[in-house]
Amino acid sequence: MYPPVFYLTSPNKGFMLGTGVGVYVGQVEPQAAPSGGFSSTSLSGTFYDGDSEVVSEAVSAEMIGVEALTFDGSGGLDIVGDYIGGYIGTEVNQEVDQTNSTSLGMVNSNGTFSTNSTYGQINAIMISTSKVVNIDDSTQSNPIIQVIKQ
Amino acid sequence: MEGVINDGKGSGLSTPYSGITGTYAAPDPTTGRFTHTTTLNGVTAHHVGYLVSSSQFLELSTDALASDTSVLVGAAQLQSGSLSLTTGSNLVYYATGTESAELGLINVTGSTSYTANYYEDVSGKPESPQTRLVPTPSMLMAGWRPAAQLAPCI
Repeated sequence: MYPPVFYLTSPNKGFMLGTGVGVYVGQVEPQAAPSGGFSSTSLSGTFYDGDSEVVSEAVSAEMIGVEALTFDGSGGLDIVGDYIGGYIGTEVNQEVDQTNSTSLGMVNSNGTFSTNSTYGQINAIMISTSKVVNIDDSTQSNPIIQVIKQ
Repeated sequence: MEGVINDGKGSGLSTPYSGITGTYAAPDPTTGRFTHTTTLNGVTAHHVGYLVSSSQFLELSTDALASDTSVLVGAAQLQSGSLSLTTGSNLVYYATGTESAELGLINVTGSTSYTANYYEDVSGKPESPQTRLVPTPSMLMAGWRPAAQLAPCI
């Protein structure tokens, strides 16, 4: 991204816009780390998220969805979600009431981590113990920002 | 009002504009729905908004998609407090582009400077982690003015 332009709405928080051809738009907000920094045990309780499809991409090949995530406070989490996207013949592909259990893996003290061990790169950051942001569908052609909140 | 929009003139680069004017209808007291119109450089755009509270609304453009008309969705937030960055604070940013997404950590190092470590995915492939220093040495040599990069908006 070219150096972004920030439009603040309050101290340390606001909207941002990339200045290059990638047409980035997003948000910036303060990070609140727990004492001692972040770790895989920083998240506990029930969280939720939902993807917002970028309009110009229409229904893309990858799935978008809504999820409820339950973190156990020890690095493990259970996910239940509904997903939609792509086509099977002429029908839009839907996956309803899916469940998955996984773990956070290594979380750096600054809150950065990877949600996909085969991705080979950081794609998520803990903003606080109640909010996380990650690049969803990070192996697909149209990656989406996903904000996970308690 | 000041604004920064993509000019759509082929360069793809964002351009700052000022002088946006507009009108709005009174919100429906039950639903919070209202319509509003903005004009910039002789181009008039129509929108519908839904109040979330007295300090926030969601909006959607209502003009038909055309070569010079975008279909946009967004949010507006009332500004409050000091519109500044606190030296020593850590910020997280996240943004989506046309075929890419990026997130990063910003450390505010001074009243006009910061360091950002960021991670970008372009079309499903991770870029190597990168560091951005603002202002850059080239900005300083060119007499860069930090106010242009951290300008507040209404």
